[in-house]
Amino acid sequence: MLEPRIAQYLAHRIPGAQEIAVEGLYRIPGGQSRETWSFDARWRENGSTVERGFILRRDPDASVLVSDRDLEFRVMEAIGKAGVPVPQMYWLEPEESWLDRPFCLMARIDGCEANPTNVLMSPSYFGVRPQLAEQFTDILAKIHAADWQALGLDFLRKPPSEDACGVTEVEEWEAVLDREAMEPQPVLRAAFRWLRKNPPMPAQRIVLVHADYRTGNFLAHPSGEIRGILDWEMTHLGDPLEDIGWACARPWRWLGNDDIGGLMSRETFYRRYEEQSGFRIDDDSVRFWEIVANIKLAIIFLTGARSFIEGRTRAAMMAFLGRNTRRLELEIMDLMGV
Amino acid sequence: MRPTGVEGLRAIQAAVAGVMTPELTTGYALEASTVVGMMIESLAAEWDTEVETLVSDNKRLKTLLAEIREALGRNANAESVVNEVDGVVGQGGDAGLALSALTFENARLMGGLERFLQFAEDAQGTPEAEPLAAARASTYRYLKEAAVRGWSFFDVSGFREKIVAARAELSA
Repeated sequence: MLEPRIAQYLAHRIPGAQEIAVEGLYRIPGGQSRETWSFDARWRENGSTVERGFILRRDPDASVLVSDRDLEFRVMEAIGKAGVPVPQMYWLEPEESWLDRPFCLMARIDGCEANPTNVLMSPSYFGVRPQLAEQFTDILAKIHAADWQALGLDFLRKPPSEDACGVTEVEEWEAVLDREAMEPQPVLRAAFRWLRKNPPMPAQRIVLVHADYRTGNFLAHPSGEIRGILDWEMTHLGDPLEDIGWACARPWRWLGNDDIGGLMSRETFYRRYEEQSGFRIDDDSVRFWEIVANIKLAIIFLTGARSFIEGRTRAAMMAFLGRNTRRLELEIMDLMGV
Repeated sequence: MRPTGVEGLRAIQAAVAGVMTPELTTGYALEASTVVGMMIESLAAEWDTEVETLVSDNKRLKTLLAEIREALGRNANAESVVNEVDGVVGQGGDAGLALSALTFENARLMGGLERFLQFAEDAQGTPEAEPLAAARASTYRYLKEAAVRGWSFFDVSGFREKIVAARAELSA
């Protein structure tokens, strides 16, 4: 029973709170790198009743990627100040005794949908797809415009120079493949070679890169407003076109056609992003970053599968993901032009 | 014996979808149930043909590695990769028909392809690359054919149109 333990934690964090009740706890599907739970809390404070919805993000027993919870918390806390919609962050708790594993707590944003199937297929969202597409693009431009130094985000992993953004990511993920691969990976190895030979143009400026910016990682309200950008665990500093490549990658074209994120044409996305950000889209650079995106996803799947095979998790999802890397390899080979 | 393996998997799938899933009350449990259904779909798509595919694949990989070996044989700087490819081909005995042994054999042979592609692509832009071009193209042809096999959840989402087009192109 997590509820009484959560209530104890809230009492520890909110000294004036009395009669704390935790209700409606349930685990939210998705989110393979952290367990995500929702609950309602109610308490008495200064003579009145306070009611609040919370999201709890707890470290899993095993993950599809090794990510830094402190980093995610600090970035979300900071980026909210730059006008990017994110949930309000409350507490980061490294101590395992409270809930067995480290966790963080943030505000729940109600009335929204993140699941891409629902956002793209539900009739309540059909009419607002153009607004969602525009906001998706505008918020990305806003993330890239954020003054990361002023926000105190200079602790993030940063390429040594604008022209090193590509190779920095290549080295980062090749090291993960070296560590996690259980079998030869001729396509992924070939892709890393291709990337080294075909670097992107130097970044127009080193910016805050979300690194998992796609349909499925934002909270969409039926009014057409995006009220929260989620899943910041891979965020780092780098080339803004890295996020463009990730957002354009085929796995996120949920409708199965060429629409980016199932939201809009590539031309529409590029044009609006250029208008909003002031950055120029370079097709060859985006191709580079789309290959990186497919490689990253394949390696994330392989990492999850290895966790399952080695008994560090019993989650069927982890095993299943490992059986889905072939399509990513097909996409990588086509993007490489081989 | 009936039901066959595939028929058995379909029975499990039907029970999960028709009996168990409707009883579930949380989104997390429903997601786990969906994943189980997709995993069964993925297994069922290859269950009946996987041994045949692997036997055929491993035979084809040995032929491909022989083609690679011949192409490399004309290259004076290829001694180490020739030795590695020879080692990969030479190691294999009769893997038998157990799926695990065939899978292991397949991975071992794929290691030969990985090593060859590295050599061929490091040589690109030099005169050494040209004699390797045909073997390199054969290697990617094989890798693409392998990449379109089976069932993936991507086939009903982002890759829906692409997988149809890729299969048509590769079978033409």
